[in-house]
Amino acid sequence: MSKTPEPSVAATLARNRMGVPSIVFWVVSGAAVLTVIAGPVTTAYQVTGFKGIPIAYLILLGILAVFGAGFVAMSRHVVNAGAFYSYVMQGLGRPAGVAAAAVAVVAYSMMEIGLLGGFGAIAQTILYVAGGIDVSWIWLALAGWALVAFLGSRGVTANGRVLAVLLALELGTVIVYDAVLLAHPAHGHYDLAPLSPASLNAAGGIAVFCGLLASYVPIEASVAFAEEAKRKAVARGYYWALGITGVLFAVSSWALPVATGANRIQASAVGNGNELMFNLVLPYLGQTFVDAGHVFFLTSLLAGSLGFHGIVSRYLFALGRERVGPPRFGRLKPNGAPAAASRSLSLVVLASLFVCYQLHADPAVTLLFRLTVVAGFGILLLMAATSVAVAVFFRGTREENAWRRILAPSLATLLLAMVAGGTVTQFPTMLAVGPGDVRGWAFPASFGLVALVGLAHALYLRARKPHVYAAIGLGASVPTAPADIEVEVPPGGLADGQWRLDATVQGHRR
Amino acid sequence: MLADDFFRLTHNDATGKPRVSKRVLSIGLAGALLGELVGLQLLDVQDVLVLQNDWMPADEIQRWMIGHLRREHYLPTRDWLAFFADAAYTQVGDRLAKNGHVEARKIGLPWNRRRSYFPVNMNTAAAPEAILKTKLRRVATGYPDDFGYEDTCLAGLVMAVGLEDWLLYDAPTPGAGQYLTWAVSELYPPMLRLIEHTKAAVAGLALAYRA
Repeated sequence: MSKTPEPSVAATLARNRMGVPSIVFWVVSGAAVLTVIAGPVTTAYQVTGFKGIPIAYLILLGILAVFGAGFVAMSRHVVNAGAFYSYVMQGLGRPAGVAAAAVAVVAYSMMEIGLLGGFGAIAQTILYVAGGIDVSWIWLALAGWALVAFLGSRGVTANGRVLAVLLALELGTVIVYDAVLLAHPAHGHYDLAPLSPASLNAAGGIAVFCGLLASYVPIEASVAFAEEAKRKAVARGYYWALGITGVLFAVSSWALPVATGANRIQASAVGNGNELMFNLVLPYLGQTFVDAGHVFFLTSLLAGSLGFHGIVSRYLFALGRERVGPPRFGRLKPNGAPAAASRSLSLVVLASLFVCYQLHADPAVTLLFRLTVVAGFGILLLMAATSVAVAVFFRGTREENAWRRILAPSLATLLLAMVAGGTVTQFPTMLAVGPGDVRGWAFPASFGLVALVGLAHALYLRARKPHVYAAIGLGASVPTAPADIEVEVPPGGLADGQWRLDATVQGHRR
Repeated sequence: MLADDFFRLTHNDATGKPRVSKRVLSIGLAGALLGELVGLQLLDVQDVLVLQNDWMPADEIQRWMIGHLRREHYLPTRDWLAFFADAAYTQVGDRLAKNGHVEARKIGLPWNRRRSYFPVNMNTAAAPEAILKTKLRRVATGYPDDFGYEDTCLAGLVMAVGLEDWLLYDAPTPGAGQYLTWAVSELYPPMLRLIEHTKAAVAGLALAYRA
């Protein structure tokens, strides 16, 4: 059509695909560092007094770097690269894949519930401190829920422009806060103990790993863009995003004990609650900067909740398309939103918030901290299963080098299993219950139960709906031939055959 | 033309506003354009696209597409959909403008002007929608012969971009919906596969947060 040389398909597609900067920005801003530090990390200091959070973040960074080698390599070979369960399915088989999908849906839903509860708690504190208004957290959490439900059913995700700007501002704010805190160490010296592996040797410490792991979840999003990203951008994006977020988490979580003195971090957290970081920077930055921080804290709790809502909605959408879940979940609205999945999820989240309120759960401690730690344990199991799947997937092939094929996945599995084992033994401490208390092991065990339910469902599909079973894991590539739809013969009693359309093509304009 | 009718169906006949997001619309238009080639038996659709027969059609867009398909062989259908989606909106819009159905105007902020197309006559803009929906209503009363090959292709593509509920809004459900699903499944196989690829491409956009 034009006289200039036509671009090739590859060149055109590459031009439209996401590059490393977009992926990194998406992931780093989605990590919501200020929210993580002022929220669950502060609560972790308060409840457990565990000083080793900074070094734990760095160790997790290392584990995720090893995990990433195999994970990113496999993303080049799988369809539906955006979901852990897809890797498990293509490496370990369909029943394991469905089990993994069930665990993922439950774990990510817990994250959404935890963040909404946290939103209610933080909003309650801010309203009270700033305006003297006393509103119960549940009403504020419900307001947040309504907004997430509305935006979720419209297909709005955290990479919309307005949210992207807010998250970027939040990132800038936390960097300023860190600089201020690190410039004013308590007693004038920098305590490096929180950065030392020796601090890990504390009661309840390992269990906190899971909560910190949940902070890294946006990293998974980098491979969600695998089909939409330039060829090498996924790997580079993953490692750059991992490195930047990991260092930010470590530095920011270290800045708090630096400012309070490492031995006083728990007492300070108890005394200030989630206002700790803001109260520490207030003398140096003034009220306006602190107010801005509060606003970003709240908006990114909502953005995080919306983000997890989007992840679960898309999981349910992919499962619905494959008929593993209800088929109506597999439908998109004209705005591109998996609205049916989103609405059902919103109802479940609403019921959960209500139940937590009835049980008098403390929203900051139980929802924002403990529930996200439990969710993190589920994500940990998913990642361990994914590592195993990567190793099995590449078995007998030479498409990738030995490090990516077998060494890195095996090492990652081992490390993640160690963290999982340590978590299970120390859960009672983290929950502040006695060693024999059922709550100490019920939460980790619940994921085992969820996986079994998923497994049973897959076996049911294999027995009763083999055509559905065969299509599991093909993701967006699943053809939608309605093998099991019966057509009513309309009134008029037309003979069979009159319905058939021309198999030959006329093709010319009438 | 299939893509012209698809364009008019997926835009509001009064305001010209698209009924789906731009990216999804572009994929659907690319599918419709390829569907025109399938209809002329110039293209076979598998997981890759394969040219058939050796003659050149008269339409400019079709000739342009065949030129590309001849230059790069056996690329995945999904890649071709994404490639043609890049220019599909302006190409089909320009073709409709040439035939007097729409007029092109530049809209948007000063630093982000883009070409958009607005219906010239509401009645002709609404014609494909009216015809298709009328035929769907008649299906339930027993006149299937009206619902021909092109109608089914159009309906299949419209459903592939997420407009199934809109299409069936005032049709006698669930009969019409079931009939459509079955009718699409009985389509000329390359066309059916093209519709499935289009639907998968749209789903892929949703899964990658780009729909």
